[in-house]
Amino acid sequence: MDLAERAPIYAWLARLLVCEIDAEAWRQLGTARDVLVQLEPALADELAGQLTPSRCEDLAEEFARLFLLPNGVSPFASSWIAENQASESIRDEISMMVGQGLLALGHQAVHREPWGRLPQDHVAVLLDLVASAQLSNDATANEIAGHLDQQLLGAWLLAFGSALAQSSREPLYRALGQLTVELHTVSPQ
Amino acid sequence: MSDPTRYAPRPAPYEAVGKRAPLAPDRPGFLVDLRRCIGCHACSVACKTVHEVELGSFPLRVRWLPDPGGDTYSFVPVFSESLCTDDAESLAVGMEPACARACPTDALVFGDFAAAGSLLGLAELESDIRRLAGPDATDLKQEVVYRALPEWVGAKLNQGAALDPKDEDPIYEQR
Amino acid sequence: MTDNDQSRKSILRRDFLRLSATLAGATAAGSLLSCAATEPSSPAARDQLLEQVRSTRLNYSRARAVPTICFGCTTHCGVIGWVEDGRVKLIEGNPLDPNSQGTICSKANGLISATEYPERLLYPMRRVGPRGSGRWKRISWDEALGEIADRLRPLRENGTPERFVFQYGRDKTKGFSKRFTDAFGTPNRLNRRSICSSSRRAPLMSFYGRDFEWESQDVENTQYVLNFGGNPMEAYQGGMFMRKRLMDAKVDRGAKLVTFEVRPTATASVSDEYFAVNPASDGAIALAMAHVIVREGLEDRDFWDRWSTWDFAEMSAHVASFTPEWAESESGIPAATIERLAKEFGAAAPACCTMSNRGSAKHYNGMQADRAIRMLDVLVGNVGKPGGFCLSTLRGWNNRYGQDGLPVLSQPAPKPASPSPWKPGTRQFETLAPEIQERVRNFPQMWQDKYFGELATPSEYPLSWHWYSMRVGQLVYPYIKEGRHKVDLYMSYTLGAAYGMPEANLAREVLADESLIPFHVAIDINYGEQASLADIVLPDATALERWDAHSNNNYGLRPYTGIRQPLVEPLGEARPAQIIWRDLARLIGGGMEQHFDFEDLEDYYREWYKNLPIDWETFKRDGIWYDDKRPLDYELYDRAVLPEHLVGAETDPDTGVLYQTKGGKRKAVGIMQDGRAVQGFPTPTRRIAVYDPIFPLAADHVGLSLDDGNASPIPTYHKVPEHKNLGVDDYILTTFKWNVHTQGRSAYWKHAAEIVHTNHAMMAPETAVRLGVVTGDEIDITTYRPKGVAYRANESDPVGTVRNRVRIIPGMHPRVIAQAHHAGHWEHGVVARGGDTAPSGGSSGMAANTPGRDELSRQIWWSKERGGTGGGVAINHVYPINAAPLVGGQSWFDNVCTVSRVDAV
Repeated sequence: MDLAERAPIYAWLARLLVCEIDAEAWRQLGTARDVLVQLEPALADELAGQLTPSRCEDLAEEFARLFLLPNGVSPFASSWIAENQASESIRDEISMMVGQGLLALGHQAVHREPWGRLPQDHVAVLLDLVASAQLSNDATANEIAGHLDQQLLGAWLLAFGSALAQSSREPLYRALGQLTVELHTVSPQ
Repeated sequence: MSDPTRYAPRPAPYEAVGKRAPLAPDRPGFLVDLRRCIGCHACSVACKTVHEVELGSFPLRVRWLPDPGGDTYSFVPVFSESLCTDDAESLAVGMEPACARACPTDALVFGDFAAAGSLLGLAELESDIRRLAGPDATDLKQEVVYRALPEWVGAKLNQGAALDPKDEDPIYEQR
Repeated sequence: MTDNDQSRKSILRRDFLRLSATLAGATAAGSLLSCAATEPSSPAARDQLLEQVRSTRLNYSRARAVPTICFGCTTHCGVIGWVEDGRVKLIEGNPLDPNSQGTICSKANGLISATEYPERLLYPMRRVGPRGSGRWKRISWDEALGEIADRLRPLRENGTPERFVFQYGRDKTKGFSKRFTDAFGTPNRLNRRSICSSSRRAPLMSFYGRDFEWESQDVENTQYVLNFGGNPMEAYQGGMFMRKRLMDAKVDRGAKLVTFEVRPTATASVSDEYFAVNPASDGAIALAMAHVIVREGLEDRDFWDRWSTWDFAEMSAHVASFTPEWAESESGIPAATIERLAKEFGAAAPACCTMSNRGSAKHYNGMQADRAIRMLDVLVGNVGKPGGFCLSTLRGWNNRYGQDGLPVLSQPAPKPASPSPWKPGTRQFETLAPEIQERVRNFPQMWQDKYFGELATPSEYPLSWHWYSMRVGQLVYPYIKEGRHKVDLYMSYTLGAAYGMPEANLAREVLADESLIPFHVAIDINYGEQASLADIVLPDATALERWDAHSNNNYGLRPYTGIRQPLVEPLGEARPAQIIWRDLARLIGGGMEQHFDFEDLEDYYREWYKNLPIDWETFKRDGIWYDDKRPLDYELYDRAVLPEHLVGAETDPDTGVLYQTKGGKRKAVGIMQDGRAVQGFPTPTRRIAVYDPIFPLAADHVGLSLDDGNASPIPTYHKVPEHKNLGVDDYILTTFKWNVHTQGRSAYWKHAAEIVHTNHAMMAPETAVRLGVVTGDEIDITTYRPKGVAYRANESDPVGTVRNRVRIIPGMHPRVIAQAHHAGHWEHGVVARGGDTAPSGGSSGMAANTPGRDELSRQIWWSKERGGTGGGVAINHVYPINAAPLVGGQSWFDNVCTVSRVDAV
């Protein structure tokens, strides 16, 4: 899939990975119900209904376990990408590109509750930046998006998704992880 | 009483940037004064931090080598020929490499071996200046000379800056 | 692979396209995490981005160089951070700092590691399972602070504020946390000074007064240093200032450094002479040296008579029995060597000095050992002299001793009043056990005036709070367990007690017990062992993200001040602790809020520093200020009494001490010397209290026998009780700190962890032979209770056993086994655990061979699965709580142990 096709899904994923699943996120999940149920059939019944308070708590706990505490699945590119002395420094590019990328796109980073000022290499920041660059009606922005997608995400998103698919105790996050993997490995037809 | 002007601080780095010409030594290199090295690792950690070097890779590594037949250590910073870049980013703004800036005791000095009359320019003429060479050590940075280097160090080096299962830094227990 | 793999089909492209189209229609809302700037970016900026495919490293021309204060250890050197694209990319020294003079150590750049650590705490969290189960969810700041305030408010309203117990491990807010606890009304702002340096501060304050709780050896000009167990080249608070100065003195001027140690440290390695001495024998060596100095007539008699409170003849008679031969039998150092070193030291005077921190002090006999060592400087008269044992004015400028002419820097008004002491008759006093009441009733007035209950001011250890509140931190959990104080809410701040206290298992037991600790709030940067036992965890901003006032001891003899300022904004929802306490105070209300009436923290500090003779912007630009015209703090005691202190002053004809009465209080302000009114020392006698009656006084009040060496008014030597009659299979288990680490909180700094990540049991070659072990063998080390007057002393059951691996280190004392702390974590993330993703507290990590393991985990080349040594072993459960009498300093280095080889099954 080319970036134009993936971009809306990136934006959607960013929303689901930046903070806990709430009512709005649940509605967004419903949009992708077909795909998610294919990945995790156990989600079929659940996604058909509302998000109950107790499930909300369970998912919040899993979100914290996965992304906010040690022993989870680190949502930061710096955990996944090897620094290298000899070759391009991906980490340097990340900070430079996120900082300058926003500038070049005419954006500024916002600190929003409840996630505050996210580290620049957070998966949601990168997904969101690439998506909004791609979805803007500007050829230069699109070009930037393509470059960021290759450099920022290409190096690690698959590994992250794979780890999420394997480690999560919640079918929902397993499905999101698997979706991330398959988004990049889907065959053409 | 005392002279209150005795301590004159050297210029802060923020004052230097933009005002100094780039350092462009013809023969850049390091003089390591082992009389002053205390094995503190300020140099290697500064290097790995600013260059974002991955774990397990060492452009510069401070070895703690037990004195043969003795009861203490000799500290020997070892540079990698393949990984050390002389910190071009610092030289470009007229500052010596980050490792040399980080050394608290002036044990690590950067300069130009080709600059006659300079510290490094004169160094090779001095009797207690030697290069480090070890039969097993490869990838030793060429343009590094040591003052007060014990004779036995080369033989103890194994691979130098690189990690080695035969490493003889018992203090650090690499393996 | 999940069980669902059979039924799950791979997603087809058309499914994704359909999803994409649906979402594209829905996502008109725009970016989640950024928004259009008010000014559009220039085409040039966009072009620049496209061009910069290969980025270089830190670009010094683009970056900003911002000074701040390091937080890698307690020395707090002035540093400069290079900030680019919202990140700090390098830290180096600030040349304006007169202590460190632009030097740093490896820990400075560890702050970057800590700030960017992927597993760092970024959000307030509340536990959702049982305490300690490792189950959490994120909550908002409003929710977190609201709940904490709701629990604290009733304590204040009901008049039981002391049930709010606050304990810190590292608090450099310079009084801000005290502002909060004072405003709340609790005296229980507890610390951990006693597991650190209290038994080396007490001797200094006994000699020289509270204002001189730390010294500044003038190593820049010295010719001779006698180092008793200090390690300034690696780990020594304030030691940064010594590194270049002392190495220059040695290399350029031939100054001599002699080190007494039990293991080959970096300092020992650069010393001219290194002696492995019997543990806890430093005092014997010092007294024998005093003996030699007196015998050889090398003392500065004039200085001694002028300044010491101890009669020279009496002192001579006392040291006469501490012969070098006797000291040889105690220490293992040949008598002839002791003689020679003493003579060399005396001959170099006054450009000579002793050093001790803290190999000599953290023993049962350590306080007296340090008094004996300090006495050597008084004896040869090097105190305050160039090259000698100097004393600079106290940190924090408030017109204290030696601070005339320095601008007063104090917290903005209105400062809350401190809580009132627990006098007999008060409600709090009545909560004390009868025997405690009895003891406190018999205290002298000066102690009754500052007694605040057993946690803050343990009555059995009056010298832990006599000079100032050093307290006895390692007894807090035992006391809570024994019911000596009722806790309602316990707040930890940068505290690693659950990992690092002696008998940390007891700390964990108490922390896990909701009947003892009904509610636990932990404020910290990283999720460590302490946070894992909390109910609410609050993320603190790191040192690179915060403001702090800065003052420190003036190791360069030049009073200075500095400012810690944020280089970057806090990540996630981390907040500086000052903001946390401010917001809590406002929520608690009841008058607390008036002391926290500021919005921008910078305004608060600008007000704090308003008396500086430079403007705020200049101060922020430089990071450091000092008066470069001010003479260095040599011989402060010889300076004239200030004119304002002479007004109405009277001289005591017997002692020569000048007293001034102000506001009804009579205060000593100086002393007559040769007809001159000079300041003298800030002690009651204005002299150096080599003879100090405070020790027998304290002993008398707590029922300590006057035969115990700790009760002696004069420096003396007494053997550590459990070291008498050591069996041939008994060893002394000690611990130590590395140069690249700081306590237990640096284990996740990846570059530090890469260098030191484990803590094998180090022993001498001959010890290994005796035990029948080689490097790499497993051993069990079992420790035993102390035998003096101490917590659970003389119990026969072992304290505990730790299984560790042997590392043979030539140069170790043959009786000593040494294990570093810093390592052996089971929290703090994968770097601190040496790559081990084993479950902690119930949460499960990924199996080692999971393909999904992240790169950070994989890069940990020292992990066990990659054939390395891993992250070390937890050791603190075998170090017994061992508070030395009167001062309560933890005797970390006395532990008797036995060792047995673990045979492979």
